[in-house]
Amino acid sequence: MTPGIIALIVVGVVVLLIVMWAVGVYNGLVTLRNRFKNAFAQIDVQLKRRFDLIPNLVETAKGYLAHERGTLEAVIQARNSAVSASAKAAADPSDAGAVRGLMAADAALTGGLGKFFALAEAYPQLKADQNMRQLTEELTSTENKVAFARQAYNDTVMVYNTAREVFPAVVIANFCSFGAAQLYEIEIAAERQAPQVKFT
Amino acid sequence: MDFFAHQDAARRASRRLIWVMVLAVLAVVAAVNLAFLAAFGLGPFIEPDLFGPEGPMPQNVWPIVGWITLGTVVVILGGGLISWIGLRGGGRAVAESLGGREVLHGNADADGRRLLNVVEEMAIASGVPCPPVYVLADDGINAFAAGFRPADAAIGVTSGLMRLPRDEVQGVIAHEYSHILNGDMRLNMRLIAAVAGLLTVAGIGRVVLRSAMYSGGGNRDKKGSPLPLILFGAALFGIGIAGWFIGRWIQAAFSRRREFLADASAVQFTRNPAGIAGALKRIAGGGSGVTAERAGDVAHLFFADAILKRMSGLLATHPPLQERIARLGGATVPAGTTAVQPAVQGRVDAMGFAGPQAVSQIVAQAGAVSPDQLRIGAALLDRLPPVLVAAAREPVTARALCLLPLLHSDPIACERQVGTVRARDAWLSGEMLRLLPAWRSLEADRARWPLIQLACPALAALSPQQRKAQLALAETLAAEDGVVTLREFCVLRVLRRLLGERRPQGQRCRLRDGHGEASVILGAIAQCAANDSARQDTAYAAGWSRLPIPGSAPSRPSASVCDAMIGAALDRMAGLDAAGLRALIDACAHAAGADGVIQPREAELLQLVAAELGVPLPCPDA
Repeated sequence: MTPGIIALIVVGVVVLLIVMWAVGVYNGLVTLRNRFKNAFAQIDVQLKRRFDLIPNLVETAKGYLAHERGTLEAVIQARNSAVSASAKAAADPSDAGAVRGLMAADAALTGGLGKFFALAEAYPQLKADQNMRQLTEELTSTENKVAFARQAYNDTVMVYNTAREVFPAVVIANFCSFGAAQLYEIEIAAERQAPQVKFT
Repeated sequence: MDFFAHQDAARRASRRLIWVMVLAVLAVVAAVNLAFLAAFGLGPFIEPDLFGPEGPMPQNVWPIVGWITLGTVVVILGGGLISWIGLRGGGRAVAESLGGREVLHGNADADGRRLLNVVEEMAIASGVPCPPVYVLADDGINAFAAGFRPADAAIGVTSGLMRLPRDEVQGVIAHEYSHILNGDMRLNMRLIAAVAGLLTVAGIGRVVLRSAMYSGGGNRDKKGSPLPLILFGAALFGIGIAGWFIGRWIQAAFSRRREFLADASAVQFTRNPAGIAGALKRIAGGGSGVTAERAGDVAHLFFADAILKRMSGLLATHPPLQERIARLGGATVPAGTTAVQPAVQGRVDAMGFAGPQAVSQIVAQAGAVSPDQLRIGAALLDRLPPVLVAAAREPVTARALCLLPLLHSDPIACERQVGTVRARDAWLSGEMLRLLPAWRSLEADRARWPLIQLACPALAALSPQQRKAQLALAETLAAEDGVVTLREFCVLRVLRRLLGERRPQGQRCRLRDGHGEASVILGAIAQCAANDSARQDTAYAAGWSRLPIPGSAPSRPSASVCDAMIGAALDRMAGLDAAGLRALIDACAHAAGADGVIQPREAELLQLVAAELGVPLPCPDA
């Protein structure tokens, strides 16, 4: 047997195996990317619920906080910009910029709510309002759900990011433009400001 | 043909698939060898001095044939293996690899919620975990079910399907449930890997030939370089064509007959041939194409032809639409009526009965749904406390919900368990306490098991780390009082499945080799069926008498033996052949119903045990 032919066969098989492996890596990355996109949808559901609660909260507080319009308007404004940021991120969670935008808008909203609740401390009647108490309770519960969905999302993002960063898969990831996914992080300061206020 | 016969057929088909694959590999190997030898045999005539004076073909070609054969086998098996690795994630992985977006109650529009309701009703009715639903952004009307077993199944639909009228959606979903219930999903998954092995070769052949031609165009005048590559590419193209045809043929051969079966089952489940026939008619008018890149690899999973290029004859993965519609009675009966063809009607009468739950009917109901059960499922979904249903549909609250069955009824023990949860996650324990009153109100009801089934998509959405933590928490709760009772054991088993833990592959075994295991399982059922020892003995004997095992029954194992051995017994018996499984389920049903009625807690245990043995039992329709 001529060495040329053997070499050809060996090279051919090696090329085939490499191509097949590449196809496998590609398919795996597609699956993982869709998985973290689906995990993002879970965050999105909870965020929407949170956004829906806030106008009611502000509406309830309006009667008691007639002189604090600025704070209330800031909360509504932060809420509205967070809504549009979340729509943008939900449209394509693999767009790291959009997710970062949502993170910033979400942090701003959390900060605004923190101010609002700090302010509400000074109004005993507002604190005693049944509607207000219920909304606060729901908001706290939703915060917890957001945090949990965020954890699930971050776990799946980590799996995806690791899969696309290890050598030699990174070659395929870069060639087929599988971009790095953005972790959904909350700054510690913002986390502290989360409206965990308990009305007694 | 009941569930067990179908199970048998699927198992036989799996064995046949192995042989067909062996033949396919042989055929591809032969094709490659022929193409290769022909290519290099012809080489010298085209360019005589390419390989030197003695020419490319040595006297003895067998070593070359050996190398080529080895290479081809490695490639096919490698391709299959790579695909199989991608499938480990079950139905969700398939749906996600096709680009499916999960439909959630929280963000679905009216069509999406309706679809989820249809899926949930059928899950409750059929007694399997509710599969997560994914939508593919395609206007064609199509759907698929994928997974290895009901607990890791997923349903995918195109957005075109979501917009159909409810009864048509229900017909298609019932068709997909038939795939889930009849256990031919596992065969389908094997088919994906087998076909992928062959199809990868096809894809590669095309790529190499194209690149060979391309590079050949650039330096044709340079001596020696392009010709072998082109010849080699042509050889690979030979593999490609052969592999492609054989792969498609295998997909087609294993898929078409089961599509008819699933159509018939859909009619049996819903007693509404107009629904599924209506969807098929719309497909005939509007198409069923799926644009996802990998749709070809999984074409046999779909409800109708997923690849736009309409295949005909041998290679069609689905029977012709007209024939399917005709078999459903749609060709002769105007849409909207519920008349059925005699053949289909026979199946409906045999299995879709209504009326009081009879013990002997339980085994006939396995893996099927009757329209009455479907109605009960829908009614149950309406009747369940909204707070629990809402909790079952979201990952974070489903976590709390699925721990509730492990809580003791004794307040002090329960308080201790909640304290354990509180130490790890205060908010979670709060949620549990919030849900507990509604849960307790279901105590004497048949609704608890369906509720846990409903939580399946939410639990599946947990990340692997979260799932692990959840399972550890559940295990701690079950062992809180030092003993894991039969009930707790069963709940833990169900949670393990829902949280994605793979069960060990059961060794195949026969009933007559498993006396001890069968007696442990029956003993456990008898223990739950009655409180006093004498009636437990009666129940045990009633069950054992149904087993086709000659001789007298072994004495009833004690409660502690049952509790200790039930896990191993279920694992072993899961490998039973269809006939043995049928007899064992029948015996369990008779043990549970020895006193004339099947109490809700007996029905619950029966469903748990059957599910562990791989037999989906529908909800009791009393």
